[in-house]
Amino acid sequence: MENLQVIKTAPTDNELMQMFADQDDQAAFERLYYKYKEALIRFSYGYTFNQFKAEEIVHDTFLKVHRYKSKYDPQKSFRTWLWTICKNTNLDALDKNPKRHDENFDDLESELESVDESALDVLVKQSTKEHIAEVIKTLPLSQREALLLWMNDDLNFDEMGSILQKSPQAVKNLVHRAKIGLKAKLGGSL
Amino acid sequence: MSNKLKQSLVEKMDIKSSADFDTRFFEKLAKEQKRPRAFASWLTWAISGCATASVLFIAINSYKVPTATFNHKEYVDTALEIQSAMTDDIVSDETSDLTSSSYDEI
Repeated sequence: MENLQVIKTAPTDNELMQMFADQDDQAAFERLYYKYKEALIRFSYGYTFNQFKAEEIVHDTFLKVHRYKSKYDPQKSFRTWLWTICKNTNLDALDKNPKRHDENFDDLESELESVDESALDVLVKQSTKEHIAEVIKTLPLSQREALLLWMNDDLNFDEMGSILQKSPQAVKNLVHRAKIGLKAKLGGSL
Repeated sequence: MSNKLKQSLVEKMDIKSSADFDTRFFEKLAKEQKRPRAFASWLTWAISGCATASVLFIAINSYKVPTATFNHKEYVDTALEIQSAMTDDIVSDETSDLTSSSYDEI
């Protein structure tokens, strides 16, 4: 027993958030802030396509985390909570912009065609940053949200489903459709 | 392959935060923390609740029907006047004859 070494692992996100919520540990909050800020900016950019607006949304997201820390449920994943707040803040900002309602659910039940990911990867690499942004902008909002979540973090489909309030399979389908749309639009333009 | 594609997309959508991003955020945070947040604690709710309840209690209990706002004598005189005017017009049941009509008189 004397030789038993206690290996101290780094606290998880949930533990950090709990430390912040319970003990008002600002250092724990800052660790979460620095860990997620870049990913959230990238995610928000996919809604706004404007760096300044995306940054303002990320500021608002973290201010909400700070303000409503007592509402955090430690039984649930911090990541899911954070991304949900960010997604909702983005949607609130889009509500002020009438161009939001571009959804198309016509083909939700249709068979999914397979997508050649290596060909899509080549197309993505050949395209410019601006062009990729333009193409992502044309995707329906639900597909765009799913693709941005899939791209930005190591979230699994269950977590993505909780954030988007859809089943994991529906999110998988949305990501797949987004890839198909991306390939069609990038392929047609090259 | 999926991860490779994800990586390529992330590289293409690589948006870095601007130089003053953190400064702006921590300024906003400091401002938010300085702002007094009314109704943040249960004590504020309790005090404001007691204050509202006592104001309502005092207002209800101190209410009196305003008696001196009308002239009582004038009111009684008018009522008597109306009553006498009405009794003049009413024919008592004992003297009325329901079998005769105004046509009979003609």
